[in-house]
Amino acid sequence: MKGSSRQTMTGNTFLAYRYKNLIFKNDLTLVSNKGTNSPYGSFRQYAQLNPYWTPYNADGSYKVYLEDILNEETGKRLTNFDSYDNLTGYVGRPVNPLYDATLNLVDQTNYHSIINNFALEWQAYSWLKLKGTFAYLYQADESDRFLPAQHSSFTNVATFEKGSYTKGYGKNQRYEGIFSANFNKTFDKNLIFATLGANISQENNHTETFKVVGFPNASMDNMSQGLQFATGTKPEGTENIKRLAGLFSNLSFSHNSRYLLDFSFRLDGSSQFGSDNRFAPFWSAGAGWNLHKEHFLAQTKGIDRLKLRYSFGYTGSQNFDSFYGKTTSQYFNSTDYRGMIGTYLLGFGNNALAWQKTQKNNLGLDLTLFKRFDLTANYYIEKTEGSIASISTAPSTGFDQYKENMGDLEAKGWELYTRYNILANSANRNNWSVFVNLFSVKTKITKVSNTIAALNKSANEKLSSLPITRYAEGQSQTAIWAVPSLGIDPASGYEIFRTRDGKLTNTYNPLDQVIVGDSRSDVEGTFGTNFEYNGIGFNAFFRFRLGGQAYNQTLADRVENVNARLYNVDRRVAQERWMKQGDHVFYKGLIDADGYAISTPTYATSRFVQNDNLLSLESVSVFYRFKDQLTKRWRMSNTKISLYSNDVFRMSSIRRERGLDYPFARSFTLQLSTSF
Amino acid sequence: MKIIYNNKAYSVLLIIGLGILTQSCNKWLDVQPSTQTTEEKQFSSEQGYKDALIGIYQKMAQANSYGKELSYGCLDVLAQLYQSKSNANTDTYGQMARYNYTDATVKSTLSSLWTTQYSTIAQANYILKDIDADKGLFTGVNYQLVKGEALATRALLHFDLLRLFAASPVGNPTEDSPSIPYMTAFTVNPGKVLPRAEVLALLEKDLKEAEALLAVYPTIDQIKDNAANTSLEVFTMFRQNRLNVWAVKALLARIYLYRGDKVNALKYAKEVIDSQKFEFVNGNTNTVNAASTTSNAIFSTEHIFSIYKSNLKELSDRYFKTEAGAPENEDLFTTLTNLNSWYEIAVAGHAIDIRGPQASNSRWNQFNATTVYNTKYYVGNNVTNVNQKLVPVIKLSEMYYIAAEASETLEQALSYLNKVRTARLIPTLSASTISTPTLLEGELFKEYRKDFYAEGQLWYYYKRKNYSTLQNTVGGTMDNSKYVFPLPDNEIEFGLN
Repeated sequence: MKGSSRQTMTGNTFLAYRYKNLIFKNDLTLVSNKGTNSPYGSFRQYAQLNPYWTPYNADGSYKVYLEDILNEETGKRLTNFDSYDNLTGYVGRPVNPLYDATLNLVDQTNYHSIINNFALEWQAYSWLKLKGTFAYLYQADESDRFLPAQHSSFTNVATFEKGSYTKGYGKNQRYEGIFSANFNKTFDKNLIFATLGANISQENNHTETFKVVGFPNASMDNMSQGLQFATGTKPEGTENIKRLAGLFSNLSFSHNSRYLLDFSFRLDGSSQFGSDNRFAPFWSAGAGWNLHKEHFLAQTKGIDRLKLRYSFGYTGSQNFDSFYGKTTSQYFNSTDYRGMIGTYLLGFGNNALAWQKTQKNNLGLDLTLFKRFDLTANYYIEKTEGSIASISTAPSTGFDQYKENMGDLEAKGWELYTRYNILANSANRNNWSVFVNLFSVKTKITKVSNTIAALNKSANEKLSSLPITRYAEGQSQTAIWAVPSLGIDPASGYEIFRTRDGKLTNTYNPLDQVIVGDSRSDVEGTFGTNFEYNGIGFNAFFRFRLGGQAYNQTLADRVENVNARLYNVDRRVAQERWMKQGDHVFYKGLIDADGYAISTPTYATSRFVQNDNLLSLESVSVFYRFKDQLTKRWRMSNTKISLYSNDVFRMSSIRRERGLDYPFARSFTLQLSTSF
Repeated sequence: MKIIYNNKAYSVLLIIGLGILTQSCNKWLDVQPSTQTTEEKQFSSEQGYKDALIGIYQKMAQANSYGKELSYGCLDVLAQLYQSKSNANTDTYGQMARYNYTDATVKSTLSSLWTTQYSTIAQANYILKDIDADKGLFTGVNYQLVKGEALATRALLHFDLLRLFAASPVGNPTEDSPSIPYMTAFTVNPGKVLPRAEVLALLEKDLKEAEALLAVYPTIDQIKDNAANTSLEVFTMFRQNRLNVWAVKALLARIYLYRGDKVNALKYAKEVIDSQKFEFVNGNTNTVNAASTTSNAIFSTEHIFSIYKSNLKELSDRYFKTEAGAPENEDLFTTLTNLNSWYEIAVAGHAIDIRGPQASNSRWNQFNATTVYNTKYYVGNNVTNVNQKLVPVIKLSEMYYIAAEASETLEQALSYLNKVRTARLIPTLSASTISTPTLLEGELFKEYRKDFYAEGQLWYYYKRKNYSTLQNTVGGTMDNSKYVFPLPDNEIEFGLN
């Protein structure tokens, strides 16, 4: 959008110093950023303006209000359409966003940050190296938003409260330290590596916001020139602190470069876990066999590398906000009750909520043939115990959802990474290779928790009025639920649904939902090519997916659940919705057979579940690498100039809106790099 | 630098070191931002329980609850009190005035009303969960206050949900007709939708228990007298803004009348009236100018229970004022013709009614003849007035009306009704003119409409009496499909029906 910008200045120094068997490294980065938001607002505002309006008055100046309809008899302006949402906070008359853009608005953010990474390595003995790193991050944020008194959002505000300045400050600090001891020993044909370490970190941040109002003079845009704090408000802020501590260790063993054994162990603790399960241990073990080093294969021509791998281990994740595990309340921020400030619940804390533990089994193969063809293949089975899911609950409990270790999941999948070098010349840098990577995974629920099993049981006993089961054994975890639809009835313009009993009806009932699709793809992956010949080079990177469905929310939001009375709407509303009896169309009626507007919203229906196949060119680049002989006279080497572009094209079987706030930018970057 | 390296000692030291590290790590990781508190920490002190209780009132002050919708918002729109919404059929309130409960925005408003009420009930259950075990933490009468108020809140919120989402006893005489779930535990397991009779029994049980607990602190410090208070004892100040023992009795009176139990309704209404803790404003001396520090436009001395809403100015400026040359689309107002008819201006002696448009200290802002705003919620700019920012929930006048309706004889009923009329400066009614129960009911209805403009009580009265025709309506003839709100979709989908 015009007038929006982001300016970043970054400075970095890297210092390394070696003294006997000590190495010091320090990396300091300073960043200063200023971002300005467009005074034209978001693009969404413009997309919803009715096309028969004009932003100009007869004399060419910008209109303030876009609509002025007078009652012919009384001459007074009609007010019953004054519920237009301008998306600036003002709901009322439609305002010309171009008018607001001409005012002296200030809408910017800026931040300064210091990031320092310090590392120290000490080779205490030939077999022992001690490492310590310490990182520090400090960031100070500021935001300013000034709206002058003439801005449309103050139309109905008292004179001395027109104009506002909202100022925000934020500070973020992070400390992190990692210490480790690395051990290596070789004896006979055996090699042992071992690491033992600990990490500790703390992050804290806080923000404050102030709002001052009363700026009758539009050019006085300094916060201290406001008349008062907004009545009934006070400064607001947030505060947060998080601490992590952990222990890690690795052990690797290899014999004759043929047989490999790995073992690792981690212990992590976080301040966000409840005090009952604060620490969680994870471990993994793996074995590998370099077949290409065996004597029976060493003679075989062509097999440059053949490695078989197997690994087994546990990982876990705590991917939930801490208040789901322990009931937490937050203090009210902006209101008080007769001078006292109370708390409100953030959510229902499930005390039994535990980490979800995933057991990973991975069988892999690494193959290189004729120095041209590389292949890496993995087949894995992941069993998750106590997978954490959000369970929806009735609003009468006071909550709309809670988290539960819903049950056990099993994911089976495979990955394939292949690369073929069509041309590979070691003398010069000429090369041409193509690569294809494929992935596919299927997840299903193998066991449901006792609570879910009980809910399922009671639902099955009383089919018609109890909630449908969302988690059941054998079910995919990515299933899409909707009511099965038979399309739009040409006689009435209403949608025909099939109920759970198999009957047909026009009435939507959320209890009739069944599984109508799955969002998981059958296979997805990337492919592309890298090419360089005589200094001229070309790279392309594609992404694709096949199989699986998605719910096309755009059709629901833009074609059916629209307010055509106030806003500009998609063309399909006028052309493809049912209008009269006999229309065989895909979208439901705008009006019914008697001419009355159909205003019931469209809920989850199988009509909008569509196949989700995709092919996109994610990045493409061309470059020219200058020959070192040419640049030697200026003592430059490895000089390269490249042009690249991202998101070049995207072909999808679903036509969906991807965002309306900021226009899609097609960007091209030209880069020159060299070393002295 | 050579380190003396002893295999055994080194590993022992390592293990001990790890042990100490893990223990001190545990302590170091036990940290929380100051704006949050966990259940364990909050309920380890009396202050935590008090914070949770005050949080309940702050939730009730939200716009989705008594802060707007359940007072001057959608309930009075449904009672057809705002001409502005009868005229507008294009916004949410306009659709509500026409009882169109399938409209998307109306559904969403009702659904968030339901959710906010139950969310507040859940917080009350959160307090009640372990309060008996933690009795030792409390000093003085605080245990009784916290527990009693939590129980009373639970009952108040459930009762209002019952009155809205279930048919009234007159509308559907079947005692076992399904109504709402009554949640008494802090849980995520949905409660079953109970028959109306059972909900009423549970309400009575909760309120009786609350009454017994709160009886230890019957003092009412008048709001207006707290203006210059310098005490630090904030928890026991402003009893009218909390569910005190008299509010519990008043609620019981309401519930008994709702059930048709006139004897008990009269008994409890009398207890509140005879306590003499609340008084009518003096119609001759009371001022209503929002800019003054002592004015009392909301009649705070009559509040048995009212909510304090710290950001009321924002909403009252939005709905009851206009800065433009014409009334705004969202404004709530009525016409002078309506007011003149409701306050019986044409009848002798009634024009002086302190609630009416022609009162000497009028609480009406006449923008023009068809746009008259009520000023009772006005908040002065930069003015500290303890009587402002209040939304009444239970008033003294309602107790008199309940007593009048539940009285056994017409004389007794009229004596109660006349007390209110005298306080409002209008002439009393004599037994000769009001000689039948129908005439009495007519007078009571007029009183409900006069006294509770923008307070959300008239809808409950219409529904309880099952009136088939509402005055000034754009919604047609009334029946249960219009009187009873449909349950929200999420409740049907995930609840136990």
